[in-house]
Amino acid sequence: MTQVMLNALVVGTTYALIALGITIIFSIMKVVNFAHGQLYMIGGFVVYYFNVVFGLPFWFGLLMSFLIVGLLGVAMELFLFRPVMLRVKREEVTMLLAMGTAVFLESLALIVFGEKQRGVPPIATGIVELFGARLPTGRIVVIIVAALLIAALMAFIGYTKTGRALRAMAQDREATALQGVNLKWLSAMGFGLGTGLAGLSGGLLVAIFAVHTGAGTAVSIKAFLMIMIGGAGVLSGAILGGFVLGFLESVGYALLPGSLTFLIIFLIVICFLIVRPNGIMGKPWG
Amino acid sequence: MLEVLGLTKIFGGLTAVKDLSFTLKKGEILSIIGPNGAGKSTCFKLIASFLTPTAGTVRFNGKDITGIGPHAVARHGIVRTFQENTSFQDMTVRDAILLGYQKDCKASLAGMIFRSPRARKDDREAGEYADHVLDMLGMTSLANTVAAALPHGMLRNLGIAVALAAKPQLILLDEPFAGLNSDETKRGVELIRKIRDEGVTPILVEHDMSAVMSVSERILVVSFGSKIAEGTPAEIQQDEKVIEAYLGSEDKEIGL
Amino acid sequence: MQKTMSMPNIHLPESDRPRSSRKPLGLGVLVAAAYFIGVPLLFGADGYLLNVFTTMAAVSFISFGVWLTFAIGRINLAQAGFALIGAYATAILVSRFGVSFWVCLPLSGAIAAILGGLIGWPVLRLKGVYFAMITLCITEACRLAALSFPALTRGAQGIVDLPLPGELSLFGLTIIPAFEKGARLPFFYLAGTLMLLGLLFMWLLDTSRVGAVFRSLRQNEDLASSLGINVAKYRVVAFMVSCFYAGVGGAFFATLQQNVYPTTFQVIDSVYFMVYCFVGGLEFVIGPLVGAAVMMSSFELLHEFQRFQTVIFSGLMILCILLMPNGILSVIKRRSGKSKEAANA
Repeated sequence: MTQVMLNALVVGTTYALIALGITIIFSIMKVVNFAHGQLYMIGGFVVYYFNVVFGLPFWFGLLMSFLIVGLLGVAMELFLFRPVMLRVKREEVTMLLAMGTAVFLESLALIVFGEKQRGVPPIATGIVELFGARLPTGRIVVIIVAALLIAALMAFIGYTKTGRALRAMAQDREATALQGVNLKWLSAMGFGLGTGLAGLSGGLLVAIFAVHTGAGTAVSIKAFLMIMIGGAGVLSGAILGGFVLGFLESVGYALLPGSLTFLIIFLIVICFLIVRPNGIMGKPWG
Repeated sequence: MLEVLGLTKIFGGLTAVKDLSFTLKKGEILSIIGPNGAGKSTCFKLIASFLTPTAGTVRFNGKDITGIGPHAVARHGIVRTFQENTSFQDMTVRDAILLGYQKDCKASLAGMIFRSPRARKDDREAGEYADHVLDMLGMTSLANTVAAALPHGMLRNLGIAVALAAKPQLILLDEPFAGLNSDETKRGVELIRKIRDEGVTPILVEHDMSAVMSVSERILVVSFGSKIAEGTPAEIQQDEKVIEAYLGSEDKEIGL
Repeated sequence: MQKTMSMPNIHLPESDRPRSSRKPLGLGVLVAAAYFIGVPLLFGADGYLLNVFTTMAAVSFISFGVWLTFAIGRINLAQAGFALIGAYATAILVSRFGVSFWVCLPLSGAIAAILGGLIGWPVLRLKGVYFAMITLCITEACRLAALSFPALTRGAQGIVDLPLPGELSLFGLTIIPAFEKGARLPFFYLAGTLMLLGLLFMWLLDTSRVGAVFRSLRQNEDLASSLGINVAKYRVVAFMVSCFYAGVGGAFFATLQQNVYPTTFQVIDSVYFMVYCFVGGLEFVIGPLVGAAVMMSSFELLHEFQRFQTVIFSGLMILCILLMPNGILSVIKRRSGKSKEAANA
């Protein structure tokens, strides 16, 4: 059981990062980033290229995954989402745009990165024994790094001026604008932060699992599950959702045959949402 | 006609409506007034079953209709209007009124889709009634205008028209005089009397004192969720508790 | 009786009807002629192209269902899931129980519709993104269910070697002859018939009182229920009709391909059905048809680009959204509106 719990921690912390990224985007722009999984995947490849192909340290690659995917997000906001959101009659078109972007990024990645699965050399050697269960050191490092990043992010959102501006924007756009905050810059930055987190998660997890260009859709779906469980648009919900999903997944894979795990998870989530449509911590949307 | 007994609604820690009771006779124009946040709109939502009361009952024509759901309440004959978001944005005025007639249509689902004789009869009857409502509200010239293109003041009339299309016995008008000038208010008062004369009993929730005083036959004053006074306009204007509730409002404001 | 409102001289525009119910029959006949006469004349010899048109017709048929859920104000990503259900229903009934395809076709639709009703009843309370995400989960759950119960569905292997439709006869008279091996035209005509019938029913629905109720649900659910409209019931009805379209479409594809796998209909297909609705324009009943035609033709035209096909296609799609965020038909409508104004000036 401890083994399962430890595995759950590994996935859960990284999932929480993914969920946080998509939640930030959702809370400030009211758009679900359907391309989130693809951005995660690109982050993984960025780390691969910097670490394996260019031979640079893993941590540098990780930083680049955040920066590059973050900048990609800024570009997406500026050149795609902003112009479309200003002109649409039906808000669903924005969602469609996000889906189109997902397909585009995935097919582009396939051409640029190829079909092969890619991994990076272990970032730490050895195995750690913890409470009777064993975990490769690399995974412990991932847990610690992910936890630190989550803490750093929450501190950023909670205590810095920009972080507070983002929170304000999520609550009340107009009031925030009236306070003199430059919403245009903030939107782009917020989107970039969200996507950067996706890239970062991808980069971090490539230290444990291999990445391939088709990985995006599954990750996006998991991200949706997380925010549905935890509550869309609420940061604490994102973290909670990440851990809950990580836990369900680990337990599921330990007890059940592969495909049944997520089928059961889906059914649980569907039933849960019927009873609690806003997730554990969420506010009503839609 | 309408009996409200001990109606209470508590949201988390906040008691919006507390043990409210009153009765209403058919054809009696009642207004519910009170300072902001007194729970007037909540009271409407409870009667029209958009909210379920924490305690208390609502009886209509002898039947208990507490918490049966908004569309069931409408089928019993109670229809409410809305303060905001009063219309179907992309529909024309006449189409919206035709839709209001929906619950009285007798054709089945398949009948409506495949234009059965019953469905066509429904449409004819709906059309006639819609024209009657349009005429009553003086909106015939606006029949083919899309709601999104209407000026704001007309949207309220549209809301009333659509509510009337559902042939209610009781109509709950949520702040029908908000934002109207004195001319429009006078016409609004006449409209409400006309509605009552057509057989629809109106209850109003309102802030506009002059309108309330001139149109109401009975007034209910609510403050912090509880009834503090009930009576004719003349009685209410004299009532000390009412004057106190409005905290320093000048007499002449209430008496206009 | 004095008028309730004396209007100052504000000119209120006459509305053009919000939906294109104008000239519907003419358009329908045009489409029918183009499909049933034009295509075989021009492309009859090319089996591949016939297949493309067949797929186009069947896919528009399924997309009509998604269009309907948009009409009640929901973003439906479950269509692929229900199509998969329909496909498996037919596959299982035909291969295991020898049921005639002609019975399976509507029956699969009915099965999908019933399941849709059961699941829709609680789920339709959700709106907006929550509904979108939960329907996405439904589609994934269908795929996983197909994988997880090999006793019924043969799991990842899928159900293969499905027989072609046999003949349909009533009282000894052959109405539809058995489909011959390798023949494309029968499927072509079947798809076309489904498409036209689907379009006709959707149009009847949309222009009827029921359609007006659906529109009211999309625009103001609270107001609709205050008028005595049973919102929950109408939502479920719309969803069930939508699922029926999915089930029938799924049954068609299972038979066309003569197989069904858990991957036959996936999340990406739900997205494509949505895209066809958008590209055509959500206001128009015929939108999904136009959208499917445009998108699929474009995709085929890009065939030569081979591995670049998807990138270019999705890139173009993004471009389309940037340039025409409200769909092709709305641009056409605006243009024709402008030229009418110019003519009247």
